[in-house]
Amino acid sequence: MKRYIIKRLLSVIPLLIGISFLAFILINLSESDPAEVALRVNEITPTDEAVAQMREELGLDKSFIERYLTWVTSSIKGDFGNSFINNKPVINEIVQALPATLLLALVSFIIIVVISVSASIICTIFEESWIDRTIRGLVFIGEAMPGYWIGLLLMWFFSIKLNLLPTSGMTSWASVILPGVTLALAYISTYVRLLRNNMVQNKSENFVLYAKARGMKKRIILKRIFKNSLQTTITALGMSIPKLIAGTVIVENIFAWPGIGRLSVAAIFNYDYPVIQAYVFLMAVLFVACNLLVDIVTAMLDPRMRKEV
Amino acid sequence: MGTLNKLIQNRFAMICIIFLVTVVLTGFFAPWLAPHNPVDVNVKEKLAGISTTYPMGTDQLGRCILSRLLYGIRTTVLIAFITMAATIIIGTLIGGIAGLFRGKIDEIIMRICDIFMSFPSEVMILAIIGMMGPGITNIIIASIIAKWAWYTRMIRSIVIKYTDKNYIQFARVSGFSRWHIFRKHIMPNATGEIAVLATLDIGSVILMISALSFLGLGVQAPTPEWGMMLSEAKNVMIIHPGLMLPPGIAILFVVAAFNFLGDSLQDAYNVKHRKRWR
Amino acid sequence: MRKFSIVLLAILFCLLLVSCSNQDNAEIAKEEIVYASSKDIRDINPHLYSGEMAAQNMVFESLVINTEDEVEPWLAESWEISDDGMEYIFHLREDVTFTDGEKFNAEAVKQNMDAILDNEERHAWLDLVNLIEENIVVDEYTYKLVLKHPYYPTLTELGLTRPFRFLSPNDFVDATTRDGVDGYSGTGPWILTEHNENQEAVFTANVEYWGEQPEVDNVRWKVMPDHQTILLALEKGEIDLIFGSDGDMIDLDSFSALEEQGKYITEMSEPIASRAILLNSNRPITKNVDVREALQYAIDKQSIADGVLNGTESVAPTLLSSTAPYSDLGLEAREYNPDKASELLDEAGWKLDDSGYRYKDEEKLELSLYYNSDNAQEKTISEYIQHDLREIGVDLHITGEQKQAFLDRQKSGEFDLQYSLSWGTPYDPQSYLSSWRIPAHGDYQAQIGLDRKVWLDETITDLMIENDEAEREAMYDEVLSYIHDESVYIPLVYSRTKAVHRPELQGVTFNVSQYEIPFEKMYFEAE
Repeated sequence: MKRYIIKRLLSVIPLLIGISFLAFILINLSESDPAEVALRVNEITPTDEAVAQMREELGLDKSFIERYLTWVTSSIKGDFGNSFINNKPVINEIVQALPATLLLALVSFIIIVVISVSASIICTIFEESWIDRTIRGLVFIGEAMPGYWIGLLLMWFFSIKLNLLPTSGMTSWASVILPGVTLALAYISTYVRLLRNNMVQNKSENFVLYAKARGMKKRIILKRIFKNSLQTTITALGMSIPKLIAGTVIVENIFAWPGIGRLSVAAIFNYDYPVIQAYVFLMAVLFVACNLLVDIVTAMLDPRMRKEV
Repeated sequence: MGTLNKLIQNRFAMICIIFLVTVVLTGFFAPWLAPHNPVDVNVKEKLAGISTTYPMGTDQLGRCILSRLLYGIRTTVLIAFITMAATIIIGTLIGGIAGLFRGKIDEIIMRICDIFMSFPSEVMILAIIGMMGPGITNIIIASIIAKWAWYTRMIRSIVIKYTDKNYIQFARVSGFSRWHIFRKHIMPNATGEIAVLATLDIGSVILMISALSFLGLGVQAPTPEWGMMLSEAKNVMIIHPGLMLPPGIAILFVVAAFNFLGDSLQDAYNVKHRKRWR
Repeated sequence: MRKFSIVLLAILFCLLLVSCSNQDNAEIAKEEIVYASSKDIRDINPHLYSGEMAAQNMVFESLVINTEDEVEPWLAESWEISDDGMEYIFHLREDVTFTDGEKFNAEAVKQNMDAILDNEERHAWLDLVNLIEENIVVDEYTYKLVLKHPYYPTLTELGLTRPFRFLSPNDFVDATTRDGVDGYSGTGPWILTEHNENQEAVFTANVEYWGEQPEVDNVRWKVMPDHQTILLALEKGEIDLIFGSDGDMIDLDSFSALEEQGKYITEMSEPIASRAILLNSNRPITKNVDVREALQYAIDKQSIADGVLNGTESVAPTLLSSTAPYSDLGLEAREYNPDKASELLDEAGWKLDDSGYRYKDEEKLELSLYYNSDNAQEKTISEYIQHDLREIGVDLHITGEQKQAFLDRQKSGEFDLQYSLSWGTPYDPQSYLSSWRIPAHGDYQAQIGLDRKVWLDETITDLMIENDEAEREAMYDEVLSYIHDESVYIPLVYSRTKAVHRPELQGVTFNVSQYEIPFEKMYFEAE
């Protein structure tokens, strides 16, 4: 087991190098000169001298490789440079915004798990009945609607019509509900489908038939089916966490949620290169880390999986 | 073909197909069907309600919403199709090479795919559009960059699955070239599975364009496009909530139809790949 | 499956039932104004430009203030100007302290001025900073400013929202403010007491304020990036006030509808700034003055003002409103006249083709207009202009770009048409004209093709330091008439600042600058 984990960890290193390189060249897709942008966001008129001085300050006069190496080495130490907009260290900005996004993602995750599991069980019990179809139809619609439309409709209905929840911001525990639900809706359908189909399939497996023949209670059989189906779903759910964190951009902007999704949009509109770079890079690292964790956990649960790699 | 029969038996999937074909045809015949020019501005009639002249009312510049909706099919659905087609072509080419040649080339291609797949597609698309600026071409390029790796990998595994089949092995031994085998034996079999993958993703492309429009990074005005129409209607949501319905429902129906069709195809082909995590 | 469809229909029906109703929240604390903005206040260091101006204005004050009629005393009770216009002596108020207890006196003024001068390049847009020869503490409450040349807008510029505002020297870092400050102790009516980045900021009334006390205890500045969220929050009663200009806070269609509904009170300031389209005289097609003039007649400004902007802004016959200083010149307005536009284009050799577009020597009459993609209003106006130009056979391509790309384009001059917004009173006309001389501005790039551009820049430089009023007036006349005759700008409308608030909130007024919000005058009606 130890060997597997070490091997898996080592395999991540070349991946991280590739990721950092890609995140770095992404910024060069823009035609704007970072030095000019850095001046302009501070309302400094970009005269030729000022631009030249800023280029030197930002190290833009060095070669591409040199710049990349500098960026990577300082990134490892957690130094992503300073934001052009407020001149604060980028890492501080991200660390400050991250908890809000994590909370939102977590709440969303819980909503996804609770709804997918209960909906799937109901669907399995009433397979092909109108209840099954209604539930599947509903989650299907949730998945096919543009996120901001759902968000605004939910806000309008629950906070204005019913006056139950605050419209936006992060003021009380209740404010996380609407953004959490909005974010979750886009994903629930996938999991309901996955879990339900798995359970329906398991219903006709031998162990179920055997249990039925033995006259076991329906509830216990269902429990067994559920347990059996859950294993495959766990991996998928595990990978949904980084997806949720990356998917908060729209939701955070609608619900005035002070997380990294908003930070990144503001950075993109202002061409705040250090922030964009750090955001893209960290999101990829998070993805890789979650992937790694899911792999290791799966391997621990089921030794047969260790063969891959 | 058993799979096709299965699909035909699924009545709802058939409805989806008929619906989508109708939508595409409507888009094709938009110039004959639309009552107005979709970019004709008439501010005196702006935000007008339903009338015989404007069956769905007008938008903030007094343009006919029905006409924009019909012409919008061309933009929205076309972008989605082009994106998927281009992604599939690139995926098939690179995935095909990796799957057929294996060895070093395969290894390198797969590592590059790993790198690209480490970036969540939303983040990738947002960053690329953010850097290159909004517009149809950039949206397509960004989506291709964000998606190609996943398709390459899937297509590679499909190719490998078929290469291992007995009759292909036999063909190889008989001295047919790799290219010949790929074209004559693997491709016809793989096409179906690839189509499933693509269908599943078209809906997500349409939703992505609408999300970009919300951020002001969608297609350029005044091109009629559903995501943009929805986003424009959103600006007056408080006073004219009904304006969000035509583009919103259009997106909802088309995306739902594509998703449902994708799911049904998946069942019909019994494809084991899990649906892509959006 | 039929049931599935029925469910689907039922849901859609629910969505159709979207209609508005008002829910009254009676329990609102009346001692706090909740204001929503799409932007955070950020760093409100008064000597830098990264903070929100409205927030900077709440906390920090200037020696003098700009009012509708003239410059009036503020932290300086009175002043004297030497006859040559080069020396300004200010007599400061003696009853002012910074909120950290530090005394406001001539020494504090000098330290602030020195901090500003220490960062000269950052204030390059403002001529006054470059013209200060020295600044002297005469005695504890007397301060003297010596200029290199006479500079007529000196007092106006001293009253701007930034950078000539005063921060307690205790907050300086290494005796300066250019690299950040330790705190935000000002002399103003409000104290910044709480700031959660990207969430909200709370300003508390300064109980020791030397002037008139604010009417309410707190102002809560909430950050809501999406405009619809702001409107929904207003409807729910979570916020009291929306305030802003240029469509960045509130959509004009929504503004008009709210006005008609009468549930909220909507207010508009006097026309403040100019909204115009630049015509680039340095590009192949628009370098021809006849083409530029034709475009002036081709755009139906009245429809933009009434139709697109719902009559909330007034048509601009000339670039600067005749109410702006030195701008009442009786220049001839160019009314919408598509026939005349066509005639001028015909004369210039651009002939209408069967395709409905104009051609000259096989070349199509194609122009490009760029706008800032996060400004929905510019987008709508651009689409409208595109439509008007198509009527006379001009193919206008419009492109939305993010702010930075848009500014890059201004600098490079790669545009045929481009938005030009003046900063409004009290910056107009001097700061606007002054910016025409800066190569990084679109105005400069668009004017390069003019025969007399060199003369234009020199005259602008000269008129700023011209001490003789009549002479200066004549120079403004020359400059503005030249620009008008050359048709470099298509004036569209004069913009206004707008506010929407709950009926209980009273005393909502406007300052002369569109960037300031006079919270201190607002109060809640007693029930």
